[in-house]
Parts: sequence; structure tokens; C-alpha cells
Amino acid sequence: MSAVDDRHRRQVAFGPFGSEGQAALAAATVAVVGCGATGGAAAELLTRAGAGRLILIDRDIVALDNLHRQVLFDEEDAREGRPKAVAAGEHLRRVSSAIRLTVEATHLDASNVDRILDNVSIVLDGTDNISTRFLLNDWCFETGVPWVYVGAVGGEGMLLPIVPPRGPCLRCFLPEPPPPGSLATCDTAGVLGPIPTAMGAMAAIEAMKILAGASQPEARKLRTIDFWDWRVRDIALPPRADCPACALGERDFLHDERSTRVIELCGRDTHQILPPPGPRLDLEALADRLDAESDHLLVNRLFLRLDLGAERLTVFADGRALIEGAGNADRARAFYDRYVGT
Amino acid sequence: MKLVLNGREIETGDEITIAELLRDREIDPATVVVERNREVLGAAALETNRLREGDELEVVRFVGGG
Ligand SMILES: [Zn+2]
Repeated sequence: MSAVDDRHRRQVAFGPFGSEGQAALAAATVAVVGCGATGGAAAELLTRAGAGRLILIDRDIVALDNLHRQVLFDEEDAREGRPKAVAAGEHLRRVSSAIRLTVEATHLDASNVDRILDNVSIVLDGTDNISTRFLLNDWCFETGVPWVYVGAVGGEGMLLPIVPPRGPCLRCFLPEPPPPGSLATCDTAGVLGPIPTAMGAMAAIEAMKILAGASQPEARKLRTIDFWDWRVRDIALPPRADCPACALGERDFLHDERSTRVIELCGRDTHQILPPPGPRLDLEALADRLDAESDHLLVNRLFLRLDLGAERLTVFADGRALIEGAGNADRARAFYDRYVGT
Repeated sequence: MKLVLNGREIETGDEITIAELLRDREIDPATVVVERNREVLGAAALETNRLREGDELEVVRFVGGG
């Protein structure tokens, strides 16, 4: 028995998964969209379980108030404000030298989804927002790739494995994105630390079942767990005959948006500024322009950081920026315009 | 009349629809999945079906975050 086989022998010994399941997992490429709490837990468990390749996608940077729930990161990552995808990759590399890792420290959207998710076997939802989930749902029905929706807020978690072309899908549940501010977020409702990890573990199990060909359609239910009051509900969500995505074949969310957008990130006072796709930013040149602020400036190959105490700006080479401490979207946008320009 | 909402007994007016019950509780019927006596109801049924004494309702709201 080889060293790699030795590593997974207790898992292979579980008959329903077995060596065939192990081989399927080893041959798989798993995209983890969002490497925070749910996605990070799923990524680590699938690395340990023996996934062949992981694509780690995250637009955010590690902050101190992530550490109560985001198990891939430590205080040093937070102190240095490392991009989450980068820190996740470094952590997982220590877990397994065999796994192939691709790090994408960027925001997944309609303009880059085909490139980043090229040839994946399955997509795990580690996102904290609706618009990326609607994008994933459309993309997965367009390409036939399965995905696992996961959510965790407050004391509650939710999960739905989705395997195209069969419904139900995300839009059988929620046909249109709810208006901004209408859903509980980690900001408004908080989140108990262990819950997203529990949900990420369940997502990893569903991924293993799907990859092993052992996921039964009738068992793919909408599962909701209230961990605080302990109520578990499994709902056999019927596919909607008028579902825009899985029944009518609409792909609205794959169409690119051409304007700069400001998105409030879940969990703290951070805004993401997302310019339309364009030429890459010259970070060194930008650092030169900000010379007057040089005492507060840090620049490397991946990002430029301007730390002004109350407010902090991190700009990536694709023009995307994170602004912490601005207080609201307009001030974040203004801060971006002041230092980066559009 | 009495019915059970998410495992808890509640008191409602007679003959109200499920959509009315949800709106009373500031829940947008378009953002939830509703099971009545273990059967999932479509959007149209939420507006027309009237609740009866002893009904068991499960209302599941979308969970974001992650
Ligand atoms: Zn659908």
C-alpha cells in the first residue's frame, strides 16, 4: 500500500464510499467559491479527504473578527491582512503536499467565471452574498456542473445539493434575488462560530457523495438546521415548472455588468469596489502617485495597501479594492476615487 | 384559532391566508418556502389557501452568509 493509500485507508474502509469513491475524489477538481467560514471548512476537509485539485477563490482579506469562525486563518494572517485565498492555500499546502492548488484572489463574476471554473467537477458555495450564488446557479445549469449551496447566519444553517440538469435549483427556492437589506447577514444577525464549520462539513460530505456517484436525487433535500433551538428540517423542494433557471433555461446572471459596483461585505465595515473589466493596474505606479502617503503605504506583487488608521484601502492589480472603515458605500466609493481614481 | 408555526403554537385570526399570516409577521412570501402539513405549497397557493385550526406550518427563510 502506498503512502497516499495509507493516508486514506480509514475512509476507503467505509464500504459505501470505498476505493471507487476515493479514486473519483482524487480525480476531481473542486472549486471553493469563498474561503471564509463555510468554504474554508469544506476546503480543509476535502483536502484531507483526498480531493485531487482545489481552486480557492476569495476576494476578501483576513481580519481579526474572522478568526472566531474561519478555521483556515490565524492571527498573523489577520495582522498582515493577507488575501484569504492566499492564506487558505498556504494553510492547505501544510495539510497535504499531494493536492494541486490554484489560488484566485479575486471576485468571481460573469467576466471571469468561465476562465476560473474551467473544467471543474463540482462547485462548493462558500460565498456570503446572493448575487454570486445566482451567478453560480446559472453557470452550473449552463455547463452541467453540480454545486452545493450552503448558508450560515445567526444560529442557523442551510444546505441544498444541486445537480443539473435536474431541479430543484436555487431559483426554485428563490426565483429572484431579494431586495438589498431584506436578508439577515452576519452584520445584522451575527453568527455563532462553530455553525458555518458544521455546514461546511456537510457540504464536503455532499460533494463526496456526488463525486462518488452516490447522491440519490430523492435524498437531495433542502436541509435547514436551527442549532440554537435544535430543529432540523428536511424539505423536499419540488422543482418549479416556471423556474427561470432550471425549467426555462434563462441565464440572466451570466450577463456582464459594465459599471463600477460597490458591494458591502458580510461581517464588518468593509466595502468592495468593483470596476468593470479592463486593463490591469500598475501597482508600483500607483504607489509612486501616493508618495505623499508613503509612511502608510505597503506594496507588493499582489496588492497595494494604504493604511490611514481609521480607514484602510487595499487595491489589487485587477483594479478591485477593499475599503475598511468608510462607514457607508458612498464614502467607500469616494475614498476609492480619491486615492485610486476611476 | 390555534395552529403550529415552526414547531411553536400560535394564535391567529380565523380564515386568514398563509400570505396574510406571513405579511403580518413582516415576511415577504416571495422569499420563503412554506410547508403545510408536510406538503410544500406554490406561490399561488400561499395567496389563496386559508389556514385551518391545527394546521402545522413550516416557513423556511433563505439563509445567506457563509
Ligand atoms: Zn430551478
